[in-house]
Amino acid sequence: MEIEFDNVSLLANRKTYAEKLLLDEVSFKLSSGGKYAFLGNSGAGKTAISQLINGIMKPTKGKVSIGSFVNDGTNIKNVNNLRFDVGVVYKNKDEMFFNKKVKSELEFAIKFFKYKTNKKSIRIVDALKIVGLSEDYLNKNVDDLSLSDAKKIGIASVLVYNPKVIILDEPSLYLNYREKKELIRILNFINEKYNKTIIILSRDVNFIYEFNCNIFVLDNGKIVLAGDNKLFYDELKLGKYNISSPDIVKFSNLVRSKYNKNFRYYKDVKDLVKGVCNDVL
Amino acid sequence: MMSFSSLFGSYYPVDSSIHNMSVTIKLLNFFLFILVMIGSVSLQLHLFILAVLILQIIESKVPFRFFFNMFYGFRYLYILMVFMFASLGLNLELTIVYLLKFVLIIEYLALLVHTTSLSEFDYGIYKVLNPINFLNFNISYISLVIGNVFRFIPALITTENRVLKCQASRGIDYVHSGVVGKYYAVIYSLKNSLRLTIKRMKEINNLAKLRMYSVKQRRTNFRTGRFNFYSLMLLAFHLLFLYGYILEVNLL
Repeated sequence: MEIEFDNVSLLANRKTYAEKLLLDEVSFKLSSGGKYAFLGNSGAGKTAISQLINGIMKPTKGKVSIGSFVNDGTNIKNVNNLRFDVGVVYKNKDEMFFNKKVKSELEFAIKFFKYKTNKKSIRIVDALKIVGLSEDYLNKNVDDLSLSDAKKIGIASVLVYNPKVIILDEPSLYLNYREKKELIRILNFINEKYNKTIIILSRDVNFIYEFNCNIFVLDNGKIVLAGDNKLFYDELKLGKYNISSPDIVKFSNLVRSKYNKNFRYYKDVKDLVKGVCNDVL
Repeated sequence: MMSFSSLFGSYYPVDSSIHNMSVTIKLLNFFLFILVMIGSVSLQLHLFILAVLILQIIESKVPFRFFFNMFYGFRYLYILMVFMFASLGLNLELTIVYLLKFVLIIEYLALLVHTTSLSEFDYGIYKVLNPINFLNFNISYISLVIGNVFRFIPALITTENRVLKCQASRGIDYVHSGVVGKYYAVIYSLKNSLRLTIKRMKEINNLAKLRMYSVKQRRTNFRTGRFNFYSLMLLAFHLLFLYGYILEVNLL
């Protein structure tokens, strides 16, 4: 499912004191089955992008094309079909979950999208397995879940209805390094095995760097930089937009500037340790 | 709807003489205003109060359209009220008075909310209730509860807005669905919004306690508006309203 933003502007809280230009003439194209990340500080316009793709907000100017659907400020025909194709995992578990039990949470979208399947329970268990959780979680209370498990249940509650695009808003928030690595593994698995387009909205440069995807840097509602992980190599350029480079890149840049000009950029900490051992020992 | 829900009950941060007024005086003025509103049926007094309210709105530097939007939002209710009063056989003057009374109350409340932050409300309520401390009431606790009541509706609306959006992305869309869909959207969103708002209120209470808000001790003090010229002038106006009411009912 291709997604295209064509000169899109979005003004929130129009004609009020809280009026704010969330997106300012943004244009980009995301191809089907890709991995993308929108990086930016708070208020840069990341969440607005997910809400425009999901048809929750309407652009003030421009046009958003999501497969055969068009969000151009007018009413979107069959908006529920669009939302069936685009799953959103919200950053806050209080926003994401509507039910007390994990089981009813996972059944929620199947029920309300009127997803016709006679293997509902199998789908639910499968979704849990994909995110690395067992069936025991079905009877748990959502308020008792750890933050890491809540993120996984959030992904599973979207996976059950098999959307073509999955958008994750701040997926690495509150997670430790090991949990982030586990999340990256799950997202890569979903992307590679089921060919889902994964879109991450985050300010966590370390997470995005290790996820290794196409990156769009947002600043004050504008896309200021776009590219792959090489974007992070230029610390000064990123610094202009108050974004720091990932720690691994900073380390590599330090070594390159002081000791060894040919020092490589490593993709994660494990790779870095291995590389340093090989170079030094 | 979005702009209404994001602005309803919110503090408008600007430096104005009304914002800088003593919160205790604001609450005292509001109390006097309500007292007059309950009792008075004089058109002249209501017009005088309206003039003072408009002056306060201008002085508050809060854009006039917020007050107009609030007024405009109740347009169907005014028509209903007119029909109701006509069926009760009320004359034109009394109908105008009751309509004015309603408009004055909602606009006064809007002014109070736009010019006073919630933490100032807590403080003001504590100060107003302080004289009954000698009766051994737990004033801190009472003011915390009243503060929560003030916070509850804006918090509920914000949460409701968030929940509706999240529900929409998983199949229950209020805007685009039929009657049954709308029913589900409202039931589900209300259930969740109430649960989340109550949870939020508990968190706010815990935070208040963490910030040394003790229900057993004197209220922690913080910067608030002072008793300045405007406080004195507006208190005088409100006392004048009361005097007008007293004259109206021949209490003297």
